[in-house]
Amino acid sequence: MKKRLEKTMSRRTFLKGAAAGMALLGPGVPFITRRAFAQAPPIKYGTMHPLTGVYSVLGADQVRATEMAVEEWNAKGGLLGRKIAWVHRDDQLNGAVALRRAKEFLEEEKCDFIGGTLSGALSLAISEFACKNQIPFVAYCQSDMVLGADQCKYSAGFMVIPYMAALAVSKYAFENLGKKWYSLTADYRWGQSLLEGWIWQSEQMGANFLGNAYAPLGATDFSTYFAKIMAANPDFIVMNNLGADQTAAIKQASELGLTKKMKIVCTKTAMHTIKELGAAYDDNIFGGKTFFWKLRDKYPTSKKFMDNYMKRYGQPIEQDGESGYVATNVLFMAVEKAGTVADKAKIMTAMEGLKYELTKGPEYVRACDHQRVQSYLIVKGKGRRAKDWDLADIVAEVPGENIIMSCENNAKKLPFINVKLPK
Amino acid sequence: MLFDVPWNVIALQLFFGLALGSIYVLLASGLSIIYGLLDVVNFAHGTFAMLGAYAVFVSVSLSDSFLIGILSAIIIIGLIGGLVEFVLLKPLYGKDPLLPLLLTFGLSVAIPDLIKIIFGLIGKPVNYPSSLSGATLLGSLILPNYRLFIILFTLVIMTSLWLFLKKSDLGMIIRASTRDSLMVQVLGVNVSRIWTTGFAIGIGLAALAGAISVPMMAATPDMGVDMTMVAFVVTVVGGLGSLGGAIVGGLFIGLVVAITSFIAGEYATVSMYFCMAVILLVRPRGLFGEIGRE
Amino acid sequence: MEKKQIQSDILQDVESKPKATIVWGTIFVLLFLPHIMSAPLAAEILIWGIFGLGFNLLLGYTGVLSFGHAAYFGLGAYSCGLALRYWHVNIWISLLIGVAASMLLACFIGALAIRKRGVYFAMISLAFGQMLYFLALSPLKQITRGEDGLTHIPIIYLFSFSLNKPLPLYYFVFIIMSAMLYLTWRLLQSPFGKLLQAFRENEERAKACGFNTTLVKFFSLVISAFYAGLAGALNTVYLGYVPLITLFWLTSGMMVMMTILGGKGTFLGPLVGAGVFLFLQNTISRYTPRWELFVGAIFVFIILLFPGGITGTIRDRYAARKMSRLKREAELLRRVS
Repeated sequence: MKKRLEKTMSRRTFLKGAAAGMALLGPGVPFITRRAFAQAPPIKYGTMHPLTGVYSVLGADQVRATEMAVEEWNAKGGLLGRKIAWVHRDDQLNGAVALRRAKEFLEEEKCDFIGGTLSGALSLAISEFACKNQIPFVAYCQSDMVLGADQCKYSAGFMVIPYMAALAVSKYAFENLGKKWYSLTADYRWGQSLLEGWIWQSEQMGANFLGNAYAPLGATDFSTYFAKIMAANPDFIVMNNLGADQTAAIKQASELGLTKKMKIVCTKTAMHTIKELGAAYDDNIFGGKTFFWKLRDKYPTSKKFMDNYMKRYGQPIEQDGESGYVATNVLFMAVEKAGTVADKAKIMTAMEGLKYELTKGPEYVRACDHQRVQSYLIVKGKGRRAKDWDLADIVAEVPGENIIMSCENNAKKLPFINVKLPK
Repeated sequence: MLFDVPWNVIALQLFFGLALGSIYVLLASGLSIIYGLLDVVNFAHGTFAMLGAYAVFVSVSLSDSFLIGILSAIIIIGLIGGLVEFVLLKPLYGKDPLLPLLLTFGLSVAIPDLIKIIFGLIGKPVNYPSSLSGATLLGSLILPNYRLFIILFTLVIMTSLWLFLKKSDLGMIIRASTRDSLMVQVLGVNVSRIWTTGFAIGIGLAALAGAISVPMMAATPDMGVDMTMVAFVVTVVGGLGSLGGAIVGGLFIGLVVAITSFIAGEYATVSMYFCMAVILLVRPRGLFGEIGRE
Repeated sequence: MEKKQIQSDILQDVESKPKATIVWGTIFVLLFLPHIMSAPLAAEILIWGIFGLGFNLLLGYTGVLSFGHAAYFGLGAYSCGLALRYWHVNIWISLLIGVAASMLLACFIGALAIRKRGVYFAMISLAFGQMLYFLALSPLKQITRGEDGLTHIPIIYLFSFSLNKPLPLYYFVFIIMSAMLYLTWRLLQSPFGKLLQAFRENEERAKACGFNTTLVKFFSLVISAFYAGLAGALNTVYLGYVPLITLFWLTSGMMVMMTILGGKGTFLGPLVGAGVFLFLQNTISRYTPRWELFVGAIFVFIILLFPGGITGTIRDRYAARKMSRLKREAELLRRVS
């Protein structure tokens, strides 16, 4: 008897409480639901990077830089009032996987834009995908093929075109280091593009090209190539390679005492290479980069950018990350300028000629081929004086205008298509 | 001069080829011992070489002595090899002969990732030991000391190995087991332990190859893949299961790669596979291999 | 005497003659796959499944391990791609060209190398595979476009569906996959299939019975190349481009792992393996770039404890249970009589 009463009591109490609750919430309910509908869906940005494989250290840099760019924009209130939702995936530096990721971004994640890759070949494939599916793609890296001109308008390139690096570094080398040169080139498209640039510049400036040795990508023993080079006795050796290849080559060059007799000029070099080489990367070794953190001494925008990154991640940014940071920012700036997310063509048009100052001095994206026009740096090693991340000194910065060919020339791949590469 | 190339340049190329070949010899001899003794094709051979390189990096950072570095690489990684054989490969004997190959393949995929987690993605440098840097003058040839060291050291190791196999009791048992492990077992020897020892020796050789390579390049997690391929190529050329074959094959391939990089650099890697294909078609047992093993 | 008869009958039943229900059941399940998971991933699973059906014929049913099957996959991919890009032929002819090229290569390699013992053949195939890769990378760069891969492959329209869209592509691959499943099933029922079974159980005995084992292995190789070439060509359609990595030994390695994982020597093994492997790779790589560690470790684990793979282990459990049930029934019968 008592039990039933209690039960009835508790049920009544429950109902009373519920009614009270409803009364309190009541007026609030329509407010809550209206809020939920009014909140627009986030804008989705998908990027892919090599997170496995030999270049994963650079891929990680790209991820961090993109993360920072996205968070900075979201902190400012998002893009066109909407939050930016960013997803990133591993492309494993593998064409098949990269394309699968691109498909996932488009079909599953319903991304509005795509970005990334560390490989020129992959950029090419994803750029084509972007065209077939009319989705904007900002390439953090590119190969010899200029994207915008070759493909339709949906892609943009934010790294230097390989020949630009060659032109910048070669001019500095011929002016400061001597006229006799021998090159060691990784045997694939990127290496060959660099060599084309060097040979052309060499002819322009009356330098003496003594010869070239092709090494297969991934070679570990360069001693056999250096024998030839030593016999030729150039003023400096040009290294058209990257990563582990460059590390091994310089190591072995120093082992053979080459660095005491001649300089080494790496058309593109990376901080982790310098770190891996330690004291062997001395002041006889010069390297090219698009970005080095010491630019903060020259540009206030650079300082702000570098300090932010350093504060977040405890290490300076590498050029691949910087490329990603600029790419992401420019993409969002173009969207803002166009005032739309859905009209992709309008976004790309807004990107053409877009001026900005983000990490170095003032820059812009060229309209005809969606190419970022940026400067190129030459750094000199510090050998034993290197400490922590103070790995090199900047000796020159070549403005982008000086090293990029005209729109018409780029479209026809002139003048490099006429350069005869040695067998 | 030969074809416009001075003799001393050619001689230098050959010298470098010998140095390169010496490392190949170490890799191939290890693989050969493992195959000869256990009938296992060790797909993770290069992975263990990579571990040897990292072992040197760690011990050199701790002890500052390259010698200790090399010794620790051989011993520690060799022991790990023995452990791997005992725990992972032994359960597979008697079953499908492809299973051990597949297991080592799985290891070659998993272990580099483990190294990436422990040591990170950037390569770890090891400097040339100061006692071995510089070069020796031989007539008009300038021979880098470290390369000389590689050639001579490999010679010493190979000679010791040969003496060990020919003269010592354990060596004799190992050779017998290579021929007929059943018979050895019948004679009362614990063949299982011989197999573990043999595997450990093979891995120790691989680790040594990685260890002495490391000053020439940094220790990177993915350096093992190419080394496995090279080990295969040389072993096939020399003859699976033949130590003499590993030596001759290793030096031969080293010279081929050196000469090819001189003449047509981009074909250096292809030349190695080409040799392998030719041998497989023309003399499948390899230069020194025995008929029946193929 | 009677017990032994029952034993071998059971083994006969469960082994390599898949029931029709399995085939039709699989096709039925695959019909709904893109609605359970992402359509592009599902299409990829089917493509590797086709690759695996053929690879398994060679590895599981004939007992020959090829570590260079990427050569056939890649050649099929490139041939199809070249046909679509330069000769502007329709999709069916392009697929056919891919298949033909792979089979031709298999004839060539088979003629040279199939006689060799298992381990040797595995390494020869690896060597040839690598050679093809390096040839495509450098000397044949004009044709293959080297490491850039083959791009500019036009979007294919089939019955007014764009194969660039995930669902139409999936069902296109699905139709071909269903045809391949049926074909494989019939192949296994055929005299050749029975020969493979005899071969697998005891190669020496088959030889003693007068069968030309070399010829059997050769045909197996060429047939597996048919599947590989077809899969490669479909992969080109799926991606709209041919990456150089298609020819790299890693592709061969992945196929080996999938087949072992799923269960070699079983009908559905490779398909299950492809599904599990790609699913794992896709999922794990979202959380950590170290997916190779997990997949490699799982692979080692499988080799040690479940060498039959997923389907193989299931089949063995099923057979064991059926066997014990029949044993019990025989016991009962004996007691009663």
